[in-house]
Amino acid sequence: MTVLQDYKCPSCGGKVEFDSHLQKMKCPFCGSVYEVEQFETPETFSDAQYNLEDNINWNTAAGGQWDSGETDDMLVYSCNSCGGEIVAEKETGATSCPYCGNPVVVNGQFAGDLKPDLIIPFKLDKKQAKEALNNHLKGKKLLPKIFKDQNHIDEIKGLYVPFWLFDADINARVKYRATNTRSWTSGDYRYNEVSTYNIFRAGNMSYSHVPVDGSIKINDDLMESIEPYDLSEAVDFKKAYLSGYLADKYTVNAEDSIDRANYRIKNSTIDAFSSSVRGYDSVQTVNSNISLNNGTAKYALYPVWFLNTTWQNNHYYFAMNGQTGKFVGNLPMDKSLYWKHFIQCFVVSTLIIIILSVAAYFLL
Amino acid sequence: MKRKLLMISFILSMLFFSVIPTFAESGSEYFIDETNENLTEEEINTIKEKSRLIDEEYGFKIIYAHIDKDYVSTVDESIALYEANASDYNGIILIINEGLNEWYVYSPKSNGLNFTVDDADILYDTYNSQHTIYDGVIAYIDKAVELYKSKIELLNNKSENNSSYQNLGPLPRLVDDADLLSNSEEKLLLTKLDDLSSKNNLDIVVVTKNTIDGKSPMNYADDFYDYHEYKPDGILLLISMEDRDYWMSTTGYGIKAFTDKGIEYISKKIVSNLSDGDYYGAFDKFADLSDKFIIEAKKGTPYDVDHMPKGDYPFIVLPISGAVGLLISFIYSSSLKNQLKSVAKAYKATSYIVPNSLIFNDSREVLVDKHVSKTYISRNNSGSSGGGGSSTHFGSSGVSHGGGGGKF
Repeated sequence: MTVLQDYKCPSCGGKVEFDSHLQKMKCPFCGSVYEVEQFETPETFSDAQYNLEDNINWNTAAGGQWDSGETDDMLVYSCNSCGGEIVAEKETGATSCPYCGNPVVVNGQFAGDLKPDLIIPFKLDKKQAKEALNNHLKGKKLLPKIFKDQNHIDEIKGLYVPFWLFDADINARVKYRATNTRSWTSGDYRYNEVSTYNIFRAGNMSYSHVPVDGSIKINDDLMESIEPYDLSEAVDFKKAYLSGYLADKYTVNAEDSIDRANYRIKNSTIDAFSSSVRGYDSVQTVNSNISLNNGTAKYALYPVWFLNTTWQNNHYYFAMNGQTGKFVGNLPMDKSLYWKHFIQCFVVSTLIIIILSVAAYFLL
Repeated sequence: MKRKLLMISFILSMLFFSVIPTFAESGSEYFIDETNENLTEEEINTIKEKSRLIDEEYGFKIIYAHIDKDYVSTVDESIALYEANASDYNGIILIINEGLNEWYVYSPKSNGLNFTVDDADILYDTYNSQHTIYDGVIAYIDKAVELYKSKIELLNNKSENNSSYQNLGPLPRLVDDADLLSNSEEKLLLTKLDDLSSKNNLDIVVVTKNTIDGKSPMNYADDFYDYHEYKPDGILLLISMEDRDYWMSTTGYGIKAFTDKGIEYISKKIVSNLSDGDYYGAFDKFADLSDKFIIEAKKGTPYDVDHMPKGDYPFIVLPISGAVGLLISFIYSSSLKNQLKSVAKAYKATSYIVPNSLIFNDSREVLVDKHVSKTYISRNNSGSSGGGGSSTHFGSSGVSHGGGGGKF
């Protein structure tokens, strides 16, 4: 005696049967028709096991080799107080560390490291950087007045920052659970109907030039805040672009930068897939599975203007995208100004509300 | 031959049985419903049984009819239905006509019971103040019996010349037997009561007593008003010091002007004065509020559940606006603070998606469950706006009073 499995109709709960005329499953109670596959449990719908491991393969051989003699007039400077290292042509004569402002010393000949694949040359000069800073300080009501003191603005340094750029083809599968709710009134009753759906998306997408900061010294968040760079203006690296500017050596390997790239790519992918699920009252991601193919890394130098200041024993770091001009940097807050604005707003809004309520009381 | 006889008797009995129901139908219906409102069989039977029992005990037929005709006169229809169902009896009918949105109470003058227009109002209000039709009909029947009994008693008393109505002589509108007010306060209060009373053509009376001889405050107040030649319309506030009771008794137009909700409102306003011993303050407020309520009632909209006097300015608004102001300024200053922050790690890699590279190769949306639940909504019966009105009772003199009271 064989035991048959009952398949339940999702609309009405009755037992569905295979209809040989339609070659599909049909519910004799409500008449709904379903594909046969729906009642199998394909791997992607099975609750038994989820493959949670993403499959990520990177090819991290990036960068090229220097031609002989190219690095002869490049020196490595190091800063004794903050440990930062920069590379510059001999002629540049760097004297102060762009990270902390203290003097640097020549540490020796630059040699051995990888040659960058790409470089985005500086498009904006020091003057434009100064203007950008002034604009950045405008309109910030809680900024202490002293900050706008001219004296600090001169300390601006242009630096090429090393980045690892990642390209990848993504294959993702995401499973969602969504619901729709409907209610209506009939006679003396209020009815509430909740329909639950399993939703599945599988697809591909590609990413190119996802940047990860290759320098330990420079804050990742600062660098990510001045994104994006326009890669249409990137060119093959030529030493000549470095002249007049400093360049940072990479201190983080490509392999170590991968995690950051993975994180951003994964989030973007899930987000792109989720925005394709529309028309439901609520959507939840049940699980996701991302595999990465053809991952390649490139070594690039991006232009950044740096400024740092010290105010009341706190350091403030600013950065400007040397190509697009985007200017970022957290500013200090003048507490007394904060409270001044707070109290003004409180008094005004409370008075307005009281006046409105009194008027309403008398007029209604 | 036998067969023929059987046939004939069979046919005759069929005719006989088919006619009997119609005989039973005409002449004694207590509950007529032509609109099929949602009363259950059980409810209808209960109503009919109740009226039938009353009919048997008192010989008084109480009928309720619910029709939906906009082409007949409600009055005519009520008389017609009454004739059809209770022609020779003592009886009364309450008819509700949906078609014209009217109601009517009819009882033939010939039965000598003297149902007045006020009685009709009372019966309708009693019916209408309930939340369901079933409750309304039951209440109407109860009230009708009560009225009938008091009418009978009146007739009996009149005929026996043993009227329970006593005339103890006229009294001023302020009787301070408990001596709660000083002489000057008495003078001021009495002037006010007299002015307001004559202005409105109602009597507004205040009575204070140290003891009310074991009677209930309600009865004492009602009787006091009835036996001291006050106007047929009015309100009386009684203070009994022995048990610290207060009671407001309304008569005639006062019943309309001071609904149950209205009495509650006035009670709330004066009870703290009474508790504190500020009797003049309480009585003064009472006089002013009575005036206010009468004026509003004369406009046709007495204060009731859905329409109460505007309260004092709710001072609670002040701290609430302070809290809202606080919230607003917090949000505002936070936004100013956020102006200063421009550095943060990136969560996504949106700018690096190769344009148009997003391709779905499998996309499925499958319904797996549907679940319906239902909840019962309790419904208010149409007609009344959810309660209100004035509840009434009969005093010992047969006059109906409204009102309410409590302790201080």
